Amino acid sequence: MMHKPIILAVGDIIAKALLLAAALGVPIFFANSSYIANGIGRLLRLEVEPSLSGGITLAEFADPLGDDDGSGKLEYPLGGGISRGELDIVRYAVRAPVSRPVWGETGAYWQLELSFAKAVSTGLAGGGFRAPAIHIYIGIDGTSSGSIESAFGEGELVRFDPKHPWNYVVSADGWSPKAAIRSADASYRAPVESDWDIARRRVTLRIGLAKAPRLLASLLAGRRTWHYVMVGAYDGARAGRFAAVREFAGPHEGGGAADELCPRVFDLIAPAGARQESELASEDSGRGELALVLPVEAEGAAGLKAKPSAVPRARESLVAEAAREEARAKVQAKDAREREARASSSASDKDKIGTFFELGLDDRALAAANAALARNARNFVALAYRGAIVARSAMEAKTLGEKMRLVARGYDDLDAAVAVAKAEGAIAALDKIAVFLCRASVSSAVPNDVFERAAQGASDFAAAGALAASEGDKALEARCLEGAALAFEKAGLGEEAQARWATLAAKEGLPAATRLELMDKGFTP
Amino acid sequence: MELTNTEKRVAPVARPSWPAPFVATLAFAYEAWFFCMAGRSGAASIGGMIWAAFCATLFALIALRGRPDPARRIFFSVSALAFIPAFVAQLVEARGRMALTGAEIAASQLPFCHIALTTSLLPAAFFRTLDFPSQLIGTRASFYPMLTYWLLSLVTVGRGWCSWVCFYGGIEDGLSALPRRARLDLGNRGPGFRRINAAVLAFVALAGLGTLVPVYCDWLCPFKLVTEYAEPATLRSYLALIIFIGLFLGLVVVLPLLSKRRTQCSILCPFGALQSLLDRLSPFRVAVDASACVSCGACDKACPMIALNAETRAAGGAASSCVKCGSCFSACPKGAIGYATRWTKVGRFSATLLARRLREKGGLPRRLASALIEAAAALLSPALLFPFTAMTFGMIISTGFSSETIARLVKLILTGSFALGGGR
Repeated sequence: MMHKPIILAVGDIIAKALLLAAALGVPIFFANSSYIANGIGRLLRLEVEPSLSGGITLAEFADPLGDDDGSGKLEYPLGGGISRGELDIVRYAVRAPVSRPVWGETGAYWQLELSFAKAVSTGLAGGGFRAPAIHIYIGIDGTSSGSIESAFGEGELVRFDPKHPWNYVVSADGWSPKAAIRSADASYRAPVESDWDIARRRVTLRIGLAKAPRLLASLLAGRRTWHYVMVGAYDGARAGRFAAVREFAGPHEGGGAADELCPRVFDLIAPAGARQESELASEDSGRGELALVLPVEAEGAAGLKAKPSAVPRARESLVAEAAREEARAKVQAKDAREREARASSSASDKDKIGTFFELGLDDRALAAANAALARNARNFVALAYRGAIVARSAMEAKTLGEKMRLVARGYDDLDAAVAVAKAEGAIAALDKIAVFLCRASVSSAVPNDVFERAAQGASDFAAAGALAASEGDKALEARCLEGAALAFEKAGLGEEAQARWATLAAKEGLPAATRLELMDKGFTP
Repeated sequence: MELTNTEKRVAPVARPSWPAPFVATLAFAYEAWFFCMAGRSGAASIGGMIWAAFCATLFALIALRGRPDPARRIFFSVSALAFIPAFVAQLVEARGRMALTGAEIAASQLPFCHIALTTSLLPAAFFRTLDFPSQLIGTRASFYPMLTYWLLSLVTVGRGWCSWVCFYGGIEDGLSALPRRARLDLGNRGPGFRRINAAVLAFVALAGLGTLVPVYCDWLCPFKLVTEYAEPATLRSYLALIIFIGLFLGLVVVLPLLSKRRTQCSILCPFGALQSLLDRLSPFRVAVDASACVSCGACDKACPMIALNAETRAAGGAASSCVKCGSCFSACPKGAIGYATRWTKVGRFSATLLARRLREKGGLPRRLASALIEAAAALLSPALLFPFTAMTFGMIISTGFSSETIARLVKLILTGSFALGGGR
């Protein structure tokens, strides 16, 4: 009469197996939770309620990195706390006005955002006396009135496009929190809420529309706007707070000015088809003519709804182009054997390890790296490749513990290699790039919930990209920017990612797959 | 073959026999080490190491004693206490203060907590909109990760979240355990509290759907005081602050101290109500062996959630508000309460019966098989697997801030500074 206890026991064991699955499921889930969350995110594709998050983005403009030199020659003022990159806009976004914000204290408002290449100095944060000064001149569609002259006397030393006069100007600077808006006829002045987010290198300007004059408040109806966005060095003694620029930089003025009418603008957002350098070099000192600047156009919410989108067709052609590129890459991959043979006979450890690694011949790459390290324990390139190979081998590991152990072991080598690469000055840029990319590729692949390395991976990609740019390797720079943007997204630093996508969108000669990615993210490459 | 009364009375709290607790403790220590140490360096790795050792020690106590408290309560309260300094220090370091501004809200940078899910699920389902200004993905405190943790909790710990995982509940749980006896008797308020709690959930969820505003976070969250709150600037914000202070002092501090019950969790918390509603998806439950119960009522008094009474005991379990904390196990003089599998009746059948039959038949192979079955059954018993599951969940969720607080304390002792700066 054993059969009944056996049946009961089998039932019991099945039930308990479910409990065991729950118990073991928790750590396994957490080890993979960032992938699961990403998957759910792709499935759901939610958006934060726009009235909570500053309104939907109507227009987003990318500006190239490193163009904070006006017409190409401007130098920052000497001394103070400001350094290169802090006047360099990389992104400007125009949000749709929010008529009834559902959380928080503000009434109807309109939000504009600027992202900079480097942390912006602000007087409040103890960043020193030097700070950026921002002027945004706004023209509203359908108005005949307005001005084409600066609101601040000499101000920026530019003139505005007569086709698009401005109606309002927003001025903000990093020295004082008091940003303001005023109308062209100076009949309306009001404070603007400004938030200088140093960590995210972003300045947010919120213009109150609740008690604004009729023309400004009419933006709530979804009107189109034109924006002249300019950044100068802060000088509190001057009207408009834009520091003067002269031939040579001084403590209170920038340098590199070609003549006395040289615009005091270090960076601006140029419209498609125009170039910042030519705009800011268009002054004619002989005729006393100021440089002409052109606005960027932001479609209003109403126009955006009405406009038929040309995106689907453009996307289709990009998909086809990406497929052709992929096919070409497959054909090229056939020369892998040749590359392998060349690497095998190469005398250079780095060539050998790097080629084997790229070809996925991890055993041979590991053997070559170990041999190189046996000869020179401080060979940081070999150390970095070894770290990446060990971490990559975690994909094949059967148990969770083994996976984590291998990744941790890989990081021992990778962190040591990066530390050496950073500490030693006289190192070839290509070697440094290899080291940064090794760690970046691991950091952007391992689950961020467990290792929390995605942000570090993004920084490594960015560092490798900067080195590639200094070496003139544009293709590698673009790949690094894309890697940085994806890793920042994984780390939840959307703003950082946006800035990288924006910079990438401004590059030329991108592969179709990258352009497709950019298009899906709302950028026009 | 009919089972005898003795066979039916398989107490669900039977202490897991050797070597199951040791095996489970080793497994727990192994995962604690990895989850607390992974990716950490410098001061943060010291914090992670201390937290891993702390959690593993407490789990060993739970596994060896066969009952969760007091080790669970220590773990839960300490992780709640560790959450506050880490969270507040991060806010102060990042933005210079705890209070929020409109710009921070507009930047969608608010941390998303599990309670906000109750207001966000319906708008997300119906409008594909998140009615909370937080990141969607990235840190653990963003929407998609929190959604996945919640889904995982449904099929594992269920409402056990509220006594093992929630980083707010530990404050109340610890405070309710401080007094020696209750000065305020809320023992017969259980059904009423459950109805109010369900009503709060319904209100918060529907208000979220109707207004696309996180109403609970805006007006009712008592934990704003220990996390972040809108900068008090207008009458509305001052009013909200008064409500937050009132709810925190009343429901989280004073009433738990007077009544020895978790009043905020029983009455107000909409996430708790949601977990109660969906607790049937969890394979674990707290079961009462009605045949062993002598109806002394000791468990009713010990339950911080007022989830036990004569009626629920007669039905073989606790009410839906049971948080699976196990406080009642220690109180029961007959050992008649314990963790059980959701889909089997207590004492109905067990692998131990088969083992006993095999042993009774005699012979070395049968005895060996019997020993193996008993060991496997002990290892797979809910008494061991539930604490393992729940504490793993709680430990992983709390590892970041707990190890950070420990690291900050270590740094405070060594250097006099609480600021951490780039520990990871």
